[in-house]
Amino acid sequence: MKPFQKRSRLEIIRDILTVIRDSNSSISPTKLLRFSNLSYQMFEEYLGELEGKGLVELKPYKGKRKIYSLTEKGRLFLEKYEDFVSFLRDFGL
Amino acid sequence: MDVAMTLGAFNATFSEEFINLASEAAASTSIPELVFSLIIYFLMATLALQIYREVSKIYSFMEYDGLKYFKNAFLFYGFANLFPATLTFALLLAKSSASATLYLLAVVLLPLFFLTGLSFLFAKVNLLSSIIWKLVEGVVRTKTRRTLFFLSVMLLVLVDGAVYLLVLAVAGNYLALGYKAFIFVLILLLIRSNMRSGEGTKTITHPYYLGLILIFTLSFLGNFSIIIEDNHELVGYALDFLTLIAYAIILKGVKKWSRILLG
Repeated sequence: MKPFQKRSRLEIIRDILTVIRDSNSSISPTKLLRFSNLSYQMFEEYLGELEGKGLVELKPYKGKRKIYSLTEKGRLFLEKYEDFVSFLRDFGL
Repeated sequence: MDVAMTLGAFNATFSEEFINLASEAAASTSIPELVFSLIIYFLMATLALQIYREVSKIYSFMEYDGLKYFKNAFLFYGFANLFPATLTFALLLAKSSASATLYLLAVVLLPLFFLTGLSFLFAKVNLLSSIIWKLVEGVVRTKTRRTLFFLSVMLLVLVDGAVYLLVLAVAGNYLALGYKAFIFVLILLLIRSNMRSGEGTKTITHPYYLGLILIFTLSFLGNFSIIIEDNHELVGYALDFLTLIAYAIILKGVKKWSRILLG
């Protein structure tokens, strides 16, 4: 990516899912916010959307704490991400 | 109730002008022409609806909004071809010269024209939304904003049509075509920008975007019919044939990517 180039929506989603996957599919919301390079408001928005689409899930962890983990759909999305971007480019979308 | 009474009731409902319009429409084309048109419309509708079905499968997996507009565009293109197919079928029936079929044509003529126009409008708005989406996806995040975005694109398409008619009336055919050419170039630049956006410099291996460009090109070329005085029918057939090619290219690409993404 060029320096200072804004990430597209799909790239942000890919980055969030990659961070979760790379942390063995269990990461606290605070850590995920830090690694995803988003403002708190944007983070809430994106995670809400990803949960709604069934790509990630928020699970209880050791009592009151919670962690984000990747669902099977989220893992598949990440696997097919590059192909999907190529598909969009092939059609000029 | 006998047939004569039923026709009498129809006569009371429809004005004579309306029936005349239907009989003129039926008389102005020959049966071979109608059969040919029926096949073409049916083929175009089938291809467009097949594209819609394949893209729907990919959309249900990736849920990318730009793709939602793309899939809806082909659903409306499917309808936009099914309605004229029905109209052509009604014209074929009216050719049998039975009074009842002429009344049937009078009933369906205007609604089908209206529905075809509406379907084409929605198809165009959805297709345009799908190629603009990448530019606005960072801003259009809520459901309300998505609705506003769609309505803005629709307004844009309607204003474009109004400006075209205004230029046509005030400045004549050639300037109106110049205006359409300008809009066409803007659309091509938008598609080019989509293909070049994002990370990396991966080259495009399969140019399926040509199908999309062909659809916009045909929409632009359609405007030339106002300055072509002869061979209207030939131009119409050529445009239909090229539309079929565009749909076939897109369907081939969508099927290939559907196999890769969902297989």
